Amino acid sequence: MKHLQNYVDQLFKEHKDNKQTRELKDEILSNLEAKVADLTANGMDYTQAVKVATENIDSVELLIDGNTRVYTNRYRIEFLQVALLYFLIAWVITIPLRLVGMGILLNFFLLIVVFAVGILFFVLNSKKESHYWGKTSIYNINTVMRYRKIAWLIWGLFVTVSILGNTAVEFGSNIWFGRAINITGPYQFAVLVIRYVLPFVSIIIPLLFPAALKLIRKYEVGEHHENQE
Amino acid sequence: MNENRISSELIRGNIDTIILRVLCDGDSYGYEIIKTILKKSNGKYELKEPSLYTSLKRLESNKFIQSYWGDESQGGRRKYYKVTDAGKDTFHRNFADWKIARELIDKLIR
Repeated sequence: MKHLQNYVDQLFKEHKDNKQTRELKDEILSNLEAKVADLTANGMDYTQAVKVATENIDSVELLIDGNTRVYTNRYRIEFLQVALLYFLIAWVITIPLRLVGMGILLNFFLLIVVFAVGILFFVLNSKKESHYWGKTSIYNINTVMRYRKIAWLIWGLFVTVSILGNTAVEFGSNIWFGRAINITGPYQFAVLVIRYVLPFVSIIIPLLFPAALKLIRKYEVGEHHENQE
Repeated sequence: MNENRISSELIRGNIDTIILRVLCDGDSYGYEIIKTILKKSNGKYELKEPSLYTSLKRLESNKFIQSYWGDESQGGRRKYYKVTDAGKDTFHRNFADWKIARELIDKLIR
């Protein structure tokens, strides 16, 4: 039965060893053993029986929790389209923020990103071959959800630190040196507000994750494909 | 070969119900389910492992079946499946639906 053990180990070699994969491994192995035992009992020789028993299973990808098969390029292109839209909106929103040095930098940076994503989008979208559109690959929804959580955590931390930092710089002199805050007009007020608003533009990054999840579900390969050998 | 392909295409949508039917007769494990189905179809329909495992996984996540590990004295651990009450209800409902669909399709394509 060493052959079957090796075969099943091979099937799972890309996968983390956890309770779920261990149980799946045991289940597949015991069923293969039963099949080989059955075939040999009916007169087939052992090597042939192993070959017949294993020919139907070539991948266990879709049996892993959260794994789903997605049309790779259709998914990527629409994701790029969404990202392009988000960056465009961010670019437009940051135009008035150009009053402050950091605002100019951010606005310019967003423009570059818009161009980069835009070019990538048009390049990928220009291919016409059917195998290109039909190409599929496995994505894991649980992993994407974990990344989404991490993205929100980092974003929350970043925004908190920015707000605290700005407050310390802008109002520190009032707290520690007893110097009154001096906002002399709309310009100074706008500059102050912009300092606080700038970090919030980065919200488009965690917002891209829900979009990715939605698109993964949209471009999921249907059942018909999943059961094909 | 082509004939097989078409009929398995027709059967595919009913795999869950077929497996529930097998389990209604008693608890069973993967390979035994495949064998039972092969035998019941007089050797005409062999359920492939990938379909079996995906279907079992789906049925279990819908709580239509439950699994437990048998204690085999020799060889590896064997995973058995047992139909739940919800699974039995689903089977009966699917069976009723199938009868309606069969009559309808008969009328439409005869």
